[in-house]
Amino acid sequence: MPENVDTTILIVDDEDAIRSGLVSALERAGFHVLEASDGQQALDVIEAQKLDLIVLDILMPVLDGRQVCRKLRQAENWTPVLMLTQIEATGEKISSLEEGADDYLNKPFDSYELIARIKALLRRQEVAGRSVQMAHVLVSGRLRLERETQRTWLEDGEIALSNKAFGVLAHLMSRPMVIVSREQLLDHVWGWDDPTGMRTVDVRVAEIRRKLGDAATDPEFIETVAGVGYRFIAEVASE
Amino acid sequence: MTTRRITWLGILIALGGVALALILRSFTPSSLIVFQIAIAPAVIVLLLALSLSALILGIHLISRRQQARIQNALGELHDSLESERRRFIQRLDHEMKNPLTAIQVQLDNLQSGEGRDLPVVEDVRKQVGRLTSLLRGLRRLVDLETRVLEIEKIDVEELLNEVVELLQAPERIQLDVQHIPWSIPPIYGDRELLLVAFRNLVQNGLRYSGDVIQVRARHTAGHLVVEIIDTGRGIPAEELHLVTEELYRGSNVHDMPGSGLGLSLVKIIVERHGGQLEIRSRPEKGTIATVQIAYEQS
Repeated sequence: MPENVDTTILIVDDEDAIRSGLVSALERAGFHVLEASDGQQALDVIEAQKLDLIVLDILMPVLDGRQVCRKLRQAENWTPVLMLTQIEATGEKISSLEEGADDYLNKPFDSYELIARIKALLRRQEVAGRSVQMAHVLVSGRLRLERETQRTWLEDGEIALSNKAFGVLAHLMSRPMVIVSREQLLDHVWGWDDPTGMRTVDVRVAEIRRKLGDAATDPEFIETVAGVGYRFIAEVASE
Repeated sequence: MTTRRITWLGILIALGGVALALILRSFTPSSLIVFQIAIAPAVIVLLLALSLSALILGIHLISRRQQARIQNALGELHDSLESERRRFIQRLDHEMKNPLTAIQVQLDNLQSGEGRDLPVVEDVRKQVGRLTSLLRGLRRLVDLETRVLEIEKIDVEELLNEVVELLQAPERIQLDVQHIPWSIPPIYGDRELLLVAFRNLVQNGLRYSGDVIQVRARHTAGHLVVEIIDTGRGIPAEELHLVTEELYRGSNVHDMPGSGLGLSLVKIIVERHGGQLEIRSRPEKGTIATVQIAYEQS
């Protein structure tokens, strides 16, 4: 029996060829799959069914993906959403996450990539509970991070982090005590296409440490896990 | 002709007029009437000279204004062509993404089912992959032209070391960063973009040369100068000015994979840092790619 059979996924895309192809691929991976061809249809399915994850295209007739996501979150529905973005520019990724999507994938992609992302998102849900994963504001002692506005404060002073350093800090903070590998950070924060290497991740972690005054040898926030990656070691609360 | 030259010409003509007037006066008798008659031509010459210089200056100013207007119009035309080009790439990108996704997903399905062992499926997948990366490259080009740079202080040696690390061929890259009589000062720029630019240049060197390539970084006359030198197949002289154009591929590299976008990306990144990319090459001898970024610019 396939491992994912109890997991229901809704695919929302107005392109028939993409939708039907993805339905076959996900069913073959063992998921139970529902489909919708526009935003309004998606909301109807969401209301009628219990879902584990939604794959949502951005550009669609009637209601677009962003509007659907916004409506869901306003209604306190925290079903994980993977957004299919059209544009690779950083702004598009950030705005997708701002609307409450949990992850994004750029078109064109292959179905293996999509399935890997879906599994990672489902695993994330199991490991870390909703509150911190989905929270827009994360607080750890004197450190405060606001996801939507991309702003960070230490004590009462705001600190200016580069986009990527902010992404790394947000990713680590939303997984307190979990070891996150450099590869995972590269994948999530930099995306699949950027020709960056492990050292790039280290440079950004060094930036965070410098600006937070966090010593690598005796860290208050980010610990280096030798040969693997990093771990956020302080307690994190959501607001 | 510059305004300064025109002004000097006007002054010279005026002085010439005065000199001529004085010469005419020196030939005049002492009688007042005769003097007045004699001085009249000198005054006329002087007035004529002044009018002539004013006329030349006027014409020059008008032509300068016209030149500025033409330059403005050309600038506007260039900007509008550029934004039209960017819009076209965005539309192309948008219109091609959905069909490419559909083809890709259906190929995956085919390969997971009956078409598992069909070599043709793998061939089609490769071609879709090429189109996909071409599209991504074009989109990236537009993104680079318009995105806001994240400027920070960069240690040049550390950045170049990362390039070497990324390309995983340390034995083929000879890195030479200036330390004496002083070390290269850090530069201010977008670290991630400069990493892409230097990586592309070094990767090109490695790709088109079977030998060791040199990467030299110097601080020269207020500039950071990084040279990437290879002893590869080189670029034909008549193609040198084309190699940074989008999608251009040299006539002697068709046997190698490539998108024809790598050097265009480098050029955009360097220019966005106020710098210059210069490429010198000799066929069958090698190529020197030089990036120059002024410290005050960065």
